[in-house]
Amino acid sequence: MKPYVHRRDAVLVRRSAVTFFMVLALPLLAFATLGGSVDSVRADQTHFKAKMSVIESGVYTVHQLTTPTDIVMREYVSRSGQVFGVTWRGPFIPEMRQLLGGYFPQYVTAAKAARERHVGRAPLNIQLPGLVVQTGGHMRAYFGRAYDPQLLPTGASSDDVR
Amino acid sequence: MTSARVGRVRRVAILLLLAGLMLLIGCWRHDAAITQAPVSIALTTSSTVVTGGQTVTVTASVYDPSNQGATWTLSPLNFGALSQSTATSVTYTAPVGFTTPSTVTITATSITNPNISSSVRISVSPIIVALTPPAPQTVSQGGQIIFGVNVANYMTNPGVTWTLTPASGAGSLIDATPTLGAIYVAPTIVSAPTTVTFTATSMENVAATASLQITVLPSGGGPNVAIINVDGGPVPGQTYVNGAFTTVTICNPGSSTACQTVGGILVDTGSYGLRILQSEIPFLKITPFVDGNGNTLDNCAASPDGSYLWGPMAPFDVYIAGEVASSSIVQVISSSNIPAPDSCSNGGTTNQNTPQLLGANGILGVGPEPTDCTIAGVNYCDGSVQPIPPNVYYTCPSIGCATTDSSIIVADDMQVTNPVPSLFQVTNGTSDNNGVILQLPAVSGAQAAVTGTMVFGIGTETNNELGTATVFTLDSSDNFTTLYNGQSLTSSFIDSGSNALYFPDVLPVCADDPQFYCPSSLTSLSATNKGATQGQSTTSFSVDNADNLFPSNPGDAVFDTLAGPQGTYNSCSQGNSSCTFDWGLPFFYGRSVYTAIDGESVSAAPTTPWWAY
Repeated sequence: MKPYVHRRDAVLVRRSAVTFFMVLALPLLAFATLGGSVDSVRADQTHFKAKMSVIESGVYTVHQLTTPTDIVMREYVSRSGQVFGVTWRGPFIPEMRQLLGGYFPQYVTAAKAARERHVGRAPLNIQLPGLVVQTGGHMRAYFGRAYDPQLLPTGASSDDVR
Repeated sequence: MTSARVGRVRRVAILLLLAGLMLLIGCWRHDAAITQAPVSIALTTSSTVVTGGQTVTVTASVYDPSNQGATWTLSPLNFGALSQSTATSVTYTAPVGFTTPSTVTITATSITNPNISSSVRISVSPIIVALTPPAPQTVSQGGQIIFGVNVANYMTNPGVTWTLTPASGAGSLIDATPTLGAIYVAPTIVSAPTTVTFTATSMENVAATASLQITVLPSGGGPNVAIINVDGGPVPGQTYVNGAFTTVTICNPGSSTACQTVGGILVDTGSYGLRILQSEIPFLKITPFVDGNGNTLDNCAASPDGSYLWGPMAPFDVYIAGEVASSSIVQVISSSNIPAPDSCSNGGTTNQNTPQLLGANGILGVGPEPTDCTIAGVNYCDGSVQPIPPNVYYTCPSIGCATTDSSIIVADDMQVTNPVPSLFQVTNGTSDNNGVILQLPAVSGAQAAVTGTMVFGIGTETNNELGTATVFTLDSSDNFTTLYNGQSLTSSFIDSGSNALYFPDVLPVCADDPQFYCPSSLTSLSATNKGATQGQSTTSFSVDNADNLFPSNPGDAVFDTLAGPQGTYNSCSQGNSSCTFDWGLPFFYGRSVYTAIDGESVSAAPTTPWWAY
């Protein structure tokens, strides 16, 4: 894996354009990440008040967001500019609706079904054709990942979303 | 007829009709003014609060030109009785044989004009018998427990009678007095844990009793030992698998009579603080923290399973076994379905605010941290790390939070508190507060239920010594490392609140339920746990096919071979979702598992936090 590359310059150049686009498309961007465009990563950065670093990694780019409360989120963006996977770890669970975007309703339904199959407290393992969500941890040390297997770019595997 | 004439005739007809109508209305108003006097009734009472058997006199000041007075009614109809009824007064006598606080409404209705009435509400408090300590107890064979008694709301007789059941073999009572207390003496020898019910009954009202269970253990019992049961949980028809439940008594701070005992409380070493369903404490006064604007302080506890617990925080005295944590801050899980703020609820996940949803009546978080916003000495919610609060605490108006409300910074001493660091023995003030030990018997395969103990304190009594247990220190996320099947799982933890062992492996996942493993046959495995700075030990365990286990053992709650996937095999990197071995409740069967709490000290042991077994 290549070392972390801070692309502050690129961010600065694009900031005005991104801001303009965000204002126009706010309702869309406010809840768009998994399955969204690379611009939705910046919506997340704003929403979570996060610091961002970008790692180029072969067929995809990893945008790592670190929130002030030490949640580390990674958003995996394909060369075509689509977020195909997200991961998180830290003392708090990030807002899943923000992170999962359009996949959020599926996640809610599947998580509810899992809880109803067996009452109890357990990590989640949602395995749907178009959505995998795995979570776990204990209070103040949580983690998880979500990806759409159908969006994995050629040359990447689910194991890359880590 | 021409159209003009038709119009004229119509106008005349309408005018006549209107005139007639006005006349009718005028006559009606005129009649009302003559026959209906302006009656009014105002009520006064000798008291608005009574106890069983007490009386209240309600007096009516009736303004009525006809001077006919009022009739009296009581609601609910048969809760006590009205007597000595006159046109202007009545006597209410509260019932005696009741045990729950109630409210009655007494209504005076004008005889002259039955449309005019006035009501008063009167609170009717039952006689309350309270034991100290109030929660279920354990004692070793031959041991003693000193109980005090307090009777509230009695009229003339503050005494109680004392009983033990079963009638024989339950031990005995000495120094039993009607108004002070009694000393329970356990049988000299028991061959197995033996349950005794200890009861104090009001002499004035035999319906008013206080009773609790005493479990006599062959050894190791005492005021710092609570019973835990893996019994499927408190909800009829629902089996909570591999959950350890206990009973707590919570009281309004400083009160020995405003208390409720709640069973079915899940014991969770993976969280911090007591969270209790509002529906289970209907008789307690919930006094949440309030800011200068009258907003209540609310707490959000999100779970990785996509659910959350939401509700106000209030101080309660938390009694468990012979111990109490005074004014411990408890989350009351709100029964209301008013939505929590989106940043807590995510606008769609579930507030587990019923016993059915939670599978429990509450959760007792006895993990290695002192409050629900600390980890390894860092408090993320008090503003000490940075000014942006995480999604844990909120202030809300009494009608409920808006979905857009943001979280707030909250001082350390107002956060939901792990009650263990505050525990002391009710009878002598001894502190057993540096950790807990969970002990469950070994099992083989599936069982209906097992009973074990939760011991408070480590090295503070003769029954909680560390002995030869291996201590495993924890990292900055309260995790340690599990070496398993070629993987170094660096974010592993022990969690009585997880209902199976969860770890990454190549074992087949059940086709119909990806939460569990389904190997073709019982599979024997082993793993090595390594503490952050010290402690190493290898553990053997077995995994069976969940799809066979559940249907073969319907209704059973104990499954020591239940396991499921956590992340993906061989994908651990930088603490991601595939770096964890979650040692859930099956790990506790056949062990004593120690949890030492951050900030507390254990003599002759490493700096806390740590686990030991």
